[in-house]
Amino acid sequence: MGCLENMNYEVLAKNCSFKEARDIIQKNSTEKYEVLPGFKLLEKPLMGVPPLLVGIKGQKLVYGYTKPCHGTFVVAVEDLDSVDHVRKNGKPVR
Amino acid sequence: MTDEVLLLLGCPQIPVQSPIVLYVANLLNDLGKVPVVAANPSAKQLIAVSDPKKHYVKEFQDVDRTIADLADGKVGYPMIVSFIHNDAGLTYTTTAAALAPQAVLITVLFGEHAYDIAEEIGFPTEKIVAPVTHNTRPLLTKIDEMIKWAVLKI
Repeated sequence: MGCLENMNYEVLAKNCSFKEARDIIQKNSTEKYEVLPGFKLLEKPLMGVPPLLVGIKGQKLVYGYTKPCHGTFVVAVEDLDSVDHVRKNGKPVR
Repeated sequence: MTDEVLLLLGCPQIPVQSPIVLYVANLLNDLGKVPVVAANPSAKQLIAVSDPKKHYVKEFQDVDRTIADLADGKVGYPMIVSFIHNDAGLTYTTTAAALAPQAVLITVLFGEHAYDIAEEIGFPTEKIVAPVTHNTRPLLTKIDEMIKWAVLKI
């Protein structure tokens, strides 16, 4: 795990609202999990309206990342440890 | 319990944000509290340059570090004042509300979409709302009342 910039990642959407991000995560994931705000992914706490949605597609995590001046990004990032962490600690949803 | 009050700032693109933050900091100082500003670098710089001798704000923190510290339980505040004008600001504030449910939370909403954003709030908070960008006046009376009330409550 580490900084997103050093990893194999793809930006699926940028400058979107939190609700839009949730829809994009939903559509781009084969497994979905709910977690609470503050849940750590890649050493950073997730932000948003609880429960937060984190998706998994293959070996990639799909989740929202918010910056104050740039809104919410949806990223897909390859990290097997984080995928395991979400599967173990998230609540599976359909 | 700490005397510190967290001021959670959003992106500084709306002009009223910085003067309102300093106004709230001044009220808090007068009430014996210590304002701690959590902001991104640009929002922090605007406050720091407006208050070069740190008369109003002495303590600054990175906003993402603050959220991480709240998540890790390293810090706690009895009162949070959050300044919101966009969806990202609402996202940060919602997160802070979830991580610090014991805090008295005041939300100050401004900018073109202030009422729309205020309607989306789903956590317990006292809202101060005015769709202003340059004119601070519609916010001030309610800020005076609400900050004094909140300080008495904590």
